[in-house]
Amino acid sequence: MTDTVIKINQLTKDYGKGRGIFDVDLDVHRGEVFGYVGTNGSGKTTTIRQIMGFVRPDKGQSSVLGYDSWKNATKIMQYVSYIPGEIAFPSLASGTDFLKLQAEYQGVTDFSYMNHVIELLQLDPTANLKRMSKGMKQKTAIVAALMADKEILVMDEPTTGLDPLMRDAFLNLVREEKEKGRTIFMSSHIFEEIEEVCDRVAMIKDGHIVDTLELWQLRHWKTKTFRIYFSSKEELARFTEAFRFVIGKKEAQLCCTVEMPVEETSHLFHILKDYQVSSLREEHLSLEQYFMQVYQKGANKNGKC
Amino acid sequence: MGNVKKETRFFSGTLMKQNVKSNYVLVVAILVIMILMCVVTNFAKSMIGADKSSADVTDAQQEFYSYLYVMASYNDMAQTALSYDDFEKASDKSQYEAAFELMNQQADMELSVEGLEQAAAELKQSDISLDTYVHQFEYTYALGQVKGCFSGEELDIEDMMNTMFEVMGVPADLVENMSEMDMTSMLDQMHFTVMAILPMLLFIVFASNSLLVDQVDQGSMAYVLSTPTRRSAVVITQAAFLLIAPFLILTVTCAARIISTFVIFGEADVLEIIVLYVGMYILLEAIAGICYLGNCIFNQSKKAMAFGGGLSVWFFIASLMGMFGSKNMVDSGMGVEALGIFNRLTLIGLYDIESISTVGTDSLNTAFIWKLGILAAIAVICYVAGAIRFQKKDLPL
Repeated sequence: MTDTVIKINQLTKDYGKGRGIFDVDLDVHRGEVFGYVGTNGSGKTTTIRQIMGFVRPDKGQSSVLGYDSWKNATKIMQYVSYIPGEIAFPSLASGTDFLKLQAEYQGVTDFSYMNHVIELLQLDPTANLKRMSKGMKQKTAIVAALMADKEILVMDEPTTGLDPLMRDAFLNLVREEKEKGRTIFMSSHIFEEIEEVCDRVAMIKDGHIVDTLELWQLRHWKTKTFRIYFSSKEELARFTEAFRFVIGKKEAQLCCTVEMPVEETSHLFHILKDYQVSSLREEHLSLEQYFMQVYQKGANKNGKC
Repeated sequence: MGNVKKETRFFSGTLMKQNVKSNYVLVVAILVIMILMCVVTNFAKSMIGADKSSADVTDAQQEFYSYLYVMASYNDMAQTALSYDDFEKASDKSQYEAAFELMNQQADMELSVEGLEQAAAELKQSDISLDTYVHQFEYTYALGQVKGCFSGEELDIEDMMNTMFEVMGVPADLVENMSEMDMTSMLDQMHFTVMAILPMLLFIVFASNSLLVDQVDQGSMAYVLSTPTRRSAVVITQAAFLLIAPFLILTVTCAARIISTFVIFGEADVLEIIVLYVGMYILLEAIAGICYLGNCIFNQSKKAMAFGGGLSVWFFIASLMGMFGSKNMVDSGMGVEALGIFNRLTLIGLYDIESISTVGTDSLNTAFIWKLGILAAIAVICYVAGAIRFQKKDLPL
């Protein structure tokens, strides 16, 4: 039995007009990076606010390390670092001012980790807090959250505003945290980054969780899909007749698609030795494609009710 | 984890530090305005006071007029041409000495050349020239001899003036009030219920907004509440700031008032000034409490601003209208009594300057105490209600 860190049970917060979240169930285990994806306005931030105890649930409950999010919000904050989705700082002069105050709030006295993060993100905290660019502000928010080096990290779209290089640096930071055994909950609408770092992903649509999946499954699919191009029509025809896992073929392009259990892969290659193959490509199902599939399904399902 | 910090339950020094850092410019600006205004008002008061110093020469005027009367009747008797003008210029005053001597014997008076000189010197301290006094005496003397042709009553100069004003459509009692009008108390009332209130209201509305609702609306409150700082600590700290900052501003302003009063007038009714500022503090805290309550109820800055700011503006405008219905203004002909109703429609009306001004006098009017009590109760209720509400509401962070 894995150790559950964040547990959300039948959580409902109805803002009316179909907005809000409805009967959300989630379990985040210790030491995993949990991704939370969904389109804008699908309820990601609402869920996170529930976890952080900023909002009282209408129904159900959310708990962190066994403490109720709403009743024991302050207790939870001793173990949770938070990066808000909206970047807004108190009206202070400089980033340094802000970080110093944050350190005081969190009781941080050892700044070595903070300096490490600052270095990694190449942040200049002495800049004027109000004049900072979006990316700079986001980096400052990341530093503010990470400096306390707490067990659990809750991040609401932490990469908004970061350039691709900085995003990579940030994702490395997430991996680093994961290696230290931290539990990370991050929301995003950028699939690549979720795919890159997360262990599990939950998808939310219109306030309902439509699917939760292990990214390991996505990376190590039980069935494999290949697209095979042949040198001539005859070769293509000969192959489609002989091989039973063909699911589609395009004669004009001299290609066909095969989908089969992973165990059959070596068998396929064995057969292909006898054909004149011009190229072969594995069709990799990305999270985004998977998401689209599920989303459409979810749309149909929710459309009815 | 070595970094687990104990939770902050009641008061967050860090949050207070943050408040000070983000609000001190506003505090200093308001403080400078308040001090400037109270010094200027005091200075203006001293100017009015200088004008009013003529009131203190009534004795000298009486004395001076009796000398003039003696001279005039002596002239009638002895066919001489004594006059104050001549008296002042003449190096030889024996003629006058003789006249006074005679009158002393006749009417058992104690007139002397030195006496006249002294009375004249005292009278000169007023801003009105001696020539004007002499001229007024000429009218008085002339009218004193005449009786009304129809009424047969004695005519006097005051009656003449009143009659003239009445012909012009100005009620006689208004003229009387005008001469007795207490400009300094009117200035004080204006200062304490309108002028000094305005910058403090601005401070309270803006500061209270930046303390809570603005941070919730923008989302920066998340950086405070995602640390082991309880909501109770946040509300208590912010309430403390809203209690302390106006207190400091008013304390410094009060000190400035006392000092400038000492410098300008040489004396000061310290107790009355302190009570005035304590009263103003309680009044402002009642309004601050209302703003704080709005801050705790609303999650949107503009709504809280409309609530707290709107009420503050109303209180201010109503107080301004009410001022024109106050006794001082009505007496001076600048106000209308009906406007006094506005004093009942504003919290500022519960700040009773008139009864506070009796502090330190024998006729102490304690009405201001229960009025301030109401204000204090409003403040306490609003602060407590706001603090409870903030801890129970959803925050969009």
